[in-house]
Amino acid sequence: MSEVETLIANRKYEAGFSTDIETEIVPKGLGEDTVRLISAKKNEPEWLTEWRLAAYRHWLTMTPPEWAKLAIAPIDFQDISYYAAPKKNFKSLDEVDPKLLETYDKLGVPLHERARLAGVAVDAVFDSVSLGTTFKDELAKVGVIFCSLSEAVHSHPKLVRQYLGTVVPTGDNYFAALNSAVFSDGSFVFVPKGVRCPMELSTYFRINARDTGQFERTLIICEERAVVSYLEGCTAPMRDENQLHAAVVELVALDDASIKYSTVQNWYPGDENGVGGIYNFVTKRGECRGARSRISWTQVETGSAITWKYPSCILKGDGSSGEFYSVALTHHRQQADTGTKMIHLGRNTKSKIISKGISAGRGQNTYRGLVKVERNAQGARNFTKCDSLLIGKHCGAHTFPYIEVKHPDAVVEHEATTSKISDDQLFYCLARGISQEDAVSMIVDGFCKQVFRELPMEFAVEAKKLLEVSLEGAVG
Amino acid sequence: MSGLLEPLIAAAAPEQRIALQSLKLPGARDERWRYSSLRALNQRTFKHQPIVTAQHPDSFTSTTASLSPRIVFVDGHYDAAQSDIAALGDAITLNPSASSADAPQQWPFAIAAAACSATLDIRMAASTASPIHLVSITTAMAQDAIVQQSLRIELAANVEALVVHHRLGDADSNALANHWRALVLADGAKLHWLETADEGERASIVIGTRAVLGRSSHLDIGEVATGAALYRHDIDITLAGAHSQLAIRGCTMVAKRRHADIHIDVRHRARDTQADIVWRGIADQRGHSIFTGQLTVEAGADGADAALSNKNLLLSRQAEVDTRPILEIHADEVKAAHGATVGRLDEQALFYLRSRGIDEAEARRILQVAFARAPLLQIAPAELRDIALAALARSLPEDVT
Repeated sequence: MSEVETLIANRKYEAGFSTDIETEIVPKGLGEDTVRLISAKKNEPEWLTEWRLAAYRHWLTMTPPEWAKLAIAPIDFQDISYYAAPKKNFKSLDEVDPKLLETYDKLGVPLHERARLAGVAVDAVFDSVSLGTTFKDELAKVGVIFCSLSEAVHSHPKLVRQYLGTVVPTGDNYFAALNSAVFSDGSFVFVPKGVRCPMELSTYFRINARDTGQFERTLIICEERAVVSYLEGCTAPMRDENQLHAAVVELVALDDASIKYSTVQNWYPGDENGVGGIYNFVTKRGECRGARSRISWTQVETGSAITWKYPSCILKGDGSSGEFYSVALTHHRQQADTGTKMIHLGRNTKSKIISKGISAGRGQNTYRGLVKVERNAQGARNFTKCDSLLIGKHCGAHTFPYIEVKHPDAVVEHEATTSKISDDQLFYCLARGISQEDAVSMIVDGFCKQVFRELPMEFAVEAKKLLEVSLEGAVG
Repeated sequence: MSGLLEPLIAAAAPEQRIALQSLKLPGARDERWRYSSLRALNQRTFKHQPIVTAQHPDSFTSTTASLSPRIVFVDGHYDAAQSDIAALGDAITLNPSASSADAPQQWPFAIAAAACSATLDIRMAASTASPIHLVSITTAMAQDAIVQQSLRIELAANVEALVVHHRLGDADSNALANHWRALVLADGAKLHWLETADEGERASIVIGTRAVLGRSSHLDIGEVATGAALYRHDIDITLAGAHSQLAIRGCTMVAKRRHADIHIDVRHRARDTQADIVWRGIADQRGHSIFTGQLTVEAGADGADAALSNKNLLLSRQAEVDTRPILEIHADEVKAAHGATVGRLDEQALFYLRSRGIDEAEARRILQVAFARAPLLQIAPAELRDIALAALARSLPEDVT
């Protein structure tokens, strides 16, 4: 193993640069005034301001969750600025400061001409605001609404009011309540009845400003028979401080609708001594409201100092199905506590969970999942497989599955294994002239294959690359 | 203070009671007690006085007398008159009022039991061939009361022993029985432990079993759990010596309104340790079967081999099965795996039996027994295996539907 361990040197976090741009940052601190200020900056209707304030008041009564297997230094919520935005006003992407566009170029996110080639519509979120959304007009032609949530509050108030907070209520948990109070930009997607969204939609989240947190909120609604695939990526500059990211994502799928949500999370993970890095507390939940609807979560989590994230499915509609595919990698002193919840309420609902955890260095990786079959979920089925791969002597891999079954017709299966890259596997590759580094990459890639297969092609390539970069220095 | 805590510590010596005031019983938000609520117990009124069990005939005398050698406890207290260990000679020494065995911090029930009942210290210096029977009787006297029992068993180096713990309770008893026992296995010792019970469905039982295993020692635990109004068994094992081994083979059979919560915690602390847990559960009618099995491999415990399997059958719309197989791994030279399933009776097997002229009720019974006995068949000593299988046969409700 020591040979494998020594392979890992420290390659730089490639997205670790920061963009020097005039930014408006509201003073640090959190109170009702802050909530009102954010709401006012976005020129929000009164009901939303009140909604935020109710969430804030509820948040004050709550305590941070302590059940996760994470060692987190106490977070000073008064020492964070809750709103940061580039100063210059802009109405469309064409007016955006070129420096900002350069940032996205450097990150490989296509916002302009290259976007056309890529064929992916992008919503670019920079700190607390959305810079713009591409392909809006093309999408509008088929009735798909894709814009920032702040924009949707004005352009489609009825839809927002109808669905916002119906999947993740404001008081759902500590971080969801905080997000509901201070959320800034995120994406809004609405796919009407019978429409198959003609292209993949994506949002790229970038934290740039110092001492700020990002609190985006995303809402995706698929009406009857609608289909959408949504991708999400994120990065942040390298800083010695820990920046807070507390997001909420809500998905609603009506009869026969299908939502595929893919994430490649590459927030700054901190350095090898655990200094800096993003604290990532995310509440992601999808509700299969309609019969035969389908929600699929795929995530590749390589970044963040702390990951606390459980993308879940509430399977309400009869015959609906939920899927969760995850690769989580922790290296150096990263800690991840991630997994999913599958709540079977309707008849003949199905769920599948494939989770792959990789721990290297002093990383701690936990899978935490809940499969719940309620009293009326006749014919519910679940299959769960959680595998962990350990690279090195000082890391940890943990599995906490909860299974709760109340219907005698349900079939629930869970299996988990923990192993390391065996010397035999390595030796076999080396004997065939494959370098140690490539061998480890190959083995890790094979380990994650089941999940990568679920990702859209461009994302799969990026995910694979990210894993290689993240693991560099973990082995050898 | 909760309604349960006060009577729970009422029997403690006055100087201890002050320390016990800070004791906290698990609340609704305690993850370890997620599926077992103490609310019903907290709302009851238990007698505050410890029961003084006089010499009185109880309905278990004949059962008890058939078991030998035996160590008998009546309502939590060691009963020398009913015990019979003559056959064991010098192999065993009993010290009925030893100072309390130190209970783990996170086990308030065990702390209370250790403080309220004299700990019986059992030392085994030589191997015994036949099983030693520990018989814990909860009599009709204990109605509305809490009976507490504290026990420490130590096996000297290379000693092998078989122990069967029988819990016998009055069918209508609503007592709360609180058992705490510490098992210590010196290097090379071997202990085969079997836990069986015959208790009414109104009883409540909380058990804490803690074992520390020395080098190359070996512990087997077998159990047939039939549940009660509340049944909780915490099994906490530390594989402290290199090459120590643990095997747990058990099944839960709950019907009517019975509840059974098995909570196993195993820590691999030394090199080349092995743990293997197989538990099966069946929940019928309004039964509630809960299983938690946590395997932890501590840093440095290389060569650990940890395996756990928990399969369950859920047979009724009112029943519930909850299971949590947990792995916590802090070392890399490790083999660790677990699996858990919840399902129903195999319809094909049922059809096969029916087509052979076996009526449905009998066919279901056969399949249930076959399912539940699988782990019990792996209990190595034949004497213990037979007792476990007999207990399983008794535990099946006649009106299986």
